[in-house]
Amino acid sequence: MNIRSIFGFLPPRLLYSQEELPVKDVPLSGKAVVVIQKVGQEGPEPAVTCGEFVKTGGKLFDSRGRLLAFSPVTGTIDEIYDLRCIDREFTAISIAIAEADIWDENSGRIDGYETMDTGSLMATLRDAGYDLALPAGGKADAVILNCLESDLMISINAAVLAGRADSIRRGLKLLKGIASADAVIIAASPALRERAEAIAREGGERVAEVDMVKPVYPAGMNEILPRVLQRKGVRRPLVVSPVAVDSMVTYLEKGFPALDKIITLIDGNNQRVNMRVRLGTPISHVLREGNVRISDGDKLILGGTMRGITAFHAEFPVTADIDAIMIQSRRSVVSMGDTPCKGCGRCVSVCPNGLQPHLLGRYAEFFLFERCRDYDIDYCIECGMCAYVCPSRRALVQYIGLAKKELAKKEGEAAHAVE
Amino acid sequence: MPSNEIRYHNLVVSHAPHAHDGSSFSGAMYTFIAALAPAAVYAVAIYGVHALRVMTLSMAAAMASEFLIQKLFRQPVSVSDGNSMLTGLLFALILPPGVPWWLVVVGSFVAILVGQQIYGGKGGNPFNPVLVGWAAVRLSWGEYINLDYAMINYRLDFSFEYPLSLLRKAGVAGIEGFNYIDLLLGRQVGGMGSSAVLLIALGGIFLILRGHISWRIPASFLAGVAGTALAFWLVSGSLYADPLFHLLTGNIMIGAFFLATEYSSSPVNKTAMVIYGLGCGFLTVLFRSWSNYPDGVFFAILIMNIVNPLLDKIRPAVPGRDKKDGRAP
Repeated sequence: MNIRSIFGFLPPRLLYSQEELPVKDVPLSGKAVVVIQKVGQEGPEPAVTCGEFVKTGGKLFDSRGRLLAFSPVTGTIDEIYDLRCIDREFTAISIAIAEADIWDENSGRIDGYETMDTGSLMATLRDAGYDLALPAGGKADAVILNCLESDLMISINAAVLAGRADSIRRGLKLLKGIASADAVIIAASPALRERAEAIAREGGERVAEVDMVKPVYPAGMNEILPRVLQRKGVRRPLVVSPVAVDSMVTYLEKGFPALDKIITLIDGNNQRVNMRVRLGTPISHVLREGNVRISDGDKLILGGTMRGITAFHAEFPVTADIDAIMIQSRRSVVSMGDTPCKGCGRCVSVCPNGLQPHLLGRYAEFFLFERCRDYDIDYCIECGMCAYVCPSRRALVQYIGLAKKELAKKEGEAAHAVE
Repeated sequence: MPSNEIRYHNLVVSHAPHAHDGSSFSGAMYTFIAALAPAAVYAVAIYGVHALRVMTLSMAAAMASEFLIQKLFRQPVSVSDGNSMLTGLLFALILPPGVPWWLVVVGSFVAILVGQQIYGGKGGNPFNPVLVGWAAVRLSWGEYINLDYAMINYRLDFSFEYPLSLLRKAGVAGIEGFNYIDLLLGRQVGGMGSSAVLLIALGGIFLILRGHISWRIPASFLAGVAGTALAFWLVSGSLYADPLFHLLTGNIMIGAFFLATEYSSSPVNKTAMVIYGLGCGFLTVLFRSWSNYPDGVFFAILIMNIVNPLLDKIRPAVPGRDKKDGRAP
């Protein structure tokens, strides 16, 4: 993957994994952890106490009675504590798992969701944490099922499309109605053509278009995908992933979301295997089950090579938005830094959005965040291509992230001052 | 935190991406040097140990200057990345072989100090450092690097007269004796390495294939030279030389492939690169035709260096941005 051809003038072609991996089931560990991200200083206060018994799929509420999370397991709450992972703080609820997996009978099918009007259906979904990224105005011109992976080396969608075809087909139909879209497009790489065709047909009738996309990173990012489709002219799409659609349909059918998740486990030698994991399982347990060793100086990456975030401990649980767990061994850790930019322009030539990463990096480096805005920093999707090719190994995406954060902070302060 | 039995490792934490294509600045610099090696060997083959003397002295002086200046300014020393070596080599290749040693040293020193380090080092320089050094010695001690007389003591098997000076002084009639094949093969007087037109061009193409420079600047540079020269030639074929003669003489090739493409002083956006190259080519022929200098390549590049930041304002459209507003939604 890190090989440049002798004809280096060609842009680097980072290909998504086209291989289908075997799926291994991970048994439940002794405990599961539910994490709730804190917002601001206090954050939502979970209304649970230690010793409380919860059932699989049971709802956990906060002190104001709002739904916070679903319990992924059956067991007793034994600890509530603060958990940090990089720059985010969470309230963690640790559950000691009981022997029997009892499904919660209070969480049931959402009655009549097929006949609900769009507004109340969206409200129902939003309450359960499904925020649909509808284009402004609420009407999309197409619903796109993004069957490319979220990052390099991840290979989960083949298994998801095969195992959950019915659920995904129903979800797409539902989303088409919600977004009042004219078309449903299944965007997939050639390796997934048959799986995509199987979803696009319902009893001999074609319910969706299948669009073959070259599996070149970053085509699988929701912002880029509509532009690389063979079908042109999709301006205001609703892009969804198979995992999210399946989870949403499961929620409507059963009253709680999909609690099992397929993730790709990548060890320090880039050997991969897919694992079916119950949400809330601590990553350390997944690593043990996959016989993946971790040692000092390694990197533990939640996600893939280009966009994953690193964790500083393996006690974080598997959550719905983690598609891969990757160990990068000490010898292949890339160090990036603040070596001055030489102005070679390679970042500009690979940026999928035509931005000027070298300038964004330099402005952020010297705290000129407003200038970053003049150079369209808001259109940066943080795909990581600029930092991937930078000969000076500047941490460009980190600089851009810093500038975005500072700009948001400044805006928040300005809004506060107006109030 | 959860129970104590957990063994915590000292994990490395960093921002994405977690991979790199393995390219490096020093790799690029040494590739540049490798691309210039054939021309350097050619210079030694033609001019013997004199050429070797100037090249080694120039590279050593440039590297020593960078080392001393960085020590003095308490900057991290980065001599090993090959940038100052390349600066020294390029500076030597555009000089005649017989220049005095102190001129080489002064030129290299000025190139590194005034051309690069006072702007904050590599990547901060608005002008090509090599050309800053060259301009300093050209304007101060022009007679030493005047190509009219520089080769007079050499026994060459080709004309010891500088084609562009002949064109300047005697017009088209003066250059009738030159055979274009000879010019292409480097059998002409000029900078010791820059006169090896074919070797320089091949080195430049190698750099393009390796992805270290964009093809847009050299191509548009050459197109600018050819186009402007063609316009002059069509106006009067007896007053102005034909485009091919322009392309094959002087410093056009080294300028187009190695000097105009210097990272910091050249544009990075596609449209800007083309305008920059065309501008360099246009000014070059303008200087060659109407100015006091026989070859205008270096001044043309220096002038276009000034325009570079302005040109780089021509940016590609950002998908999804409102063109009128220009701001994020």
